[in-house]
Amino acid sequence: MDDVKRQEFVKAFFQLKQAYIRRLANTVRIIDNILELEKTRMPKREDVMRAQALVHGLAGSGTTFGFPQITEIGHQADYFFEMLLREMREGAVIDADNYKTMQSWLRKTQNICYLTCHESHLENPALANGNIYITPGTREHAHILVVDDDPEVAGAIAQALQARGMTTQISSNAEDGLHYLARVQPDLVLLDLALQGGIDGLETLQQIKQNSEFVDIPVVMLVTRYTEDDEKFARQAGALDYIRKPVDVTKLSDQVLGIVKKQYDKAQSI
Amino acid sequence: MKKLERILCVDDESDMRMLIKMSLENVGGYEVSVCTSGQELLENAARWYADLVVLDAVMPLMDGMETMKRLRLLDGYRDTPVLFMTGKAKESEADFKAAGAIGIITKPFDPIYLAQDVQKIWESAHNG
Repeated sequence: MDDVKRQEFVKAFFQLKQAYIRRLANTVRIIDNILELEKTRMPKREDVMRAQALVHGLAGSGTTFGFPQITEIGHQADYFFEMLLREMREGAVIDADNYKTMQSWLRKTQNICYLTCHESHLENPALANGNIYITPGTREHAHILVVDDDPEVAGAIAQALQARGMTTQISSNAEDGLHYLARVQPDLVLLDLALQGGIDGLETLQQIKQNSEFVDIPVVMLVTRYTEDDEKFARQAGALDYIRKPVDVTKLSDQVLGIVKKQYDKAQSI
Repeated sequence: MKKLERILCVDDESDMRMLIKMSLENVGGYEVSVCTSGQELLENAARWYADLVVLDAVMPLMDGMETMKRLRLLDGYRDTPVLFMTGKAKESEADFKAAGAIGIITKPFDPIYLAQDVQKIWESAHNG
């Protein structure tokens, strides 16, 4: 590599490192959320799998970005989760002893992430805001992802949002929705709680809110039949609001517009 | 030996995706296309023919092994060399090779040497 190319590479690498530090800062918040959520409901096998995905991702990239301590703690925590998952059957709930150890690994990981952000003088995530997504939305023309397996409902919502100047993307299942999020960052996600087949609405919500790249996207849940427990859990898992079906599309559009504008104002004030 | 020119990669983490692209393009001089998921890679593979496919082993929804299995069913990809990137001790290099991969890159990797390591694996697969 010649000198000019090397300089360009180093510059681009530094920008990516900023984005990575933002991921660490988000991980600190996500671990707080996971531990808070687990006060309500003891973790099941799938919760442990999500936690493993979080630490595994850190292990695979820490040293690459110059933070071997992240790789080391990530590897250790990953190994604990791997062993734990081998013991747990599908649908099983974690036992009290393993739960304590799980909490302790998450806290240790969180501490190392926090210290790394702090030492990099980038503890404020806003300073490390390297955006590498397609972000089609603007304050006036927000971009909304609607995840609902009922095409009539999703279509009616999308039409109403478009009539108010927003752009929309419809996903008929969680997998498509998550796949879309990996490339495009919408201003808000409307998520059906009762998605049929595959991943359900609550699991999708947790996948969004426990992923350092999606954690800041506001999610509003759409529900037909609901229980107070579901609502409480969804809110604790990070849902911003809860809208009952059948939806009044005019009201819904107002609500979405209100949330998005608030988000843009908040982002501007940082 | 066929020259390695086009590489199709997948990684679910955006910073790693950008870094892989940067390392292979800027340092290695290859033409690189990166995807966010196994599903996207399968969609792109049909449109963008690659000499080599680099798969992240651990990804949500569709992991690296499953992606490789489905890739093999696509026109023109039955024998395309596949390389895995893995940070996991669970699967050894032998497991990936037994499944048909030409090699593995261990995560975390050094971005300056990634292209060189990929080229070495490519060459040893073609010479051996």
